[in-house]
Amino acid sequence: MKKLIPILILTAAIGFGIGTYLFSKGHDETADIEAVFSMTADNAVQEFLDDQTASAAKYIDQVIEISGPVMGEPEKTDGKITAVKISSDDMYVVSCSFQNPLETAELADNITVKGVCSGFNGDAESMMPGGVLELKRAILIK
Amino acid sequence: MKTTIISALALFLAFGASAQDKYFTRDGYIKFYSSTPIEDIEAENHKVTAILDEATGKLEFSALIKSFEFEKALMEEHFNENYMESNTFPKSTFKGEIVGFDASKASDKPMDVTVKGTLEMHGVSKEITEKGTVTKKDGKYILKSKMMVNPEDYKIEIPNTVREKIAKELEVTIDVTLAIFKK
Repeated sequence: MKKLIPILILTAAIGFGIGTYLFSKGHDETADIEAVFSMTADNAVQEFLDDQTASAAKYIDQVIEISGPVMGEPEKTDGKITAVKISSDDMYVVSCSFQNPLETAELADNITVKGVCSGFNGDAESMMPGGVLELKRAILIK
Repeated sequence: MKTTIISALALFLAFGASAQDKYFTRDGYIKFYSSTPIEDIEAENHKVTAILDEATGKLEFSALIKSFEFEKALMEEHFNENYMESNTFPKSTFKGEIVGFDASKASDKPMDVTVKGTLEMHGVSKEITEKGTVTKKDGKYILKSKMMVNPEDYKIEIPNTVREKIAKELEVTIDVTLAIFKK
């Protein structure tokens, strides 16, 4: 029994350390995660418009790659790009916030991003026009 | 005389038309903040959609729960899976109005307003009345408000193991800039 006590204390300490680490841990780097799906912004939005329930089950919480034309001006904080919208239709867009502000101040006309899908925000019964597919913790691929 | 009447009519129609516009954003900001002696927790959503009907003062907000971002990954996971059950209740919405809204009184100085309507969260709808400000600047409406929300009012259960880490009431900050919506 006496020999067990130090082992138990050590195990508890290791467990506490692991628990503290996991609880305090930030998010995984999206760059290190392979995209499960890759598609154009228009196709991604259309899938949600066709069947929101099935698309939610398929894409939400997954890392997905989206490509398409940049819509409007990207959002910037302190001169660095923090978010962008991708779409060829200003009523239905992919809204993408970057995990880290981009070092580049400008984007190409057509880009590819990879991010975690939060879902689709659109309601035909509200005053809100169109809908938006939201990505968080995204990175710019090209 | 005819020219005067036509000009007056044109001016009236132009003024009337401009007060019928809707103002919209997909980049609204909502933050909620919990402060206890043990821990401060905050989450931000920069993709809130909101729309204001200038003619009627009707106002709507919609926010995906999974677009609220926390610094700590596990906290975000618990928030979605255990507290908000966001797979079942993916968004929070507000539908209501700015009470007695008169667009002609909006200016670049914040104007105190009362907002009244239905807040739906975690499958529960509740009538709320809150204070805020409206500012009109560079052709855009800026709406701001700060309010307290009690998770229990929306049947959000906080486990006893973490109860002391989360405030009984959360401070919710709303800051949206709405631009004219052109169809």
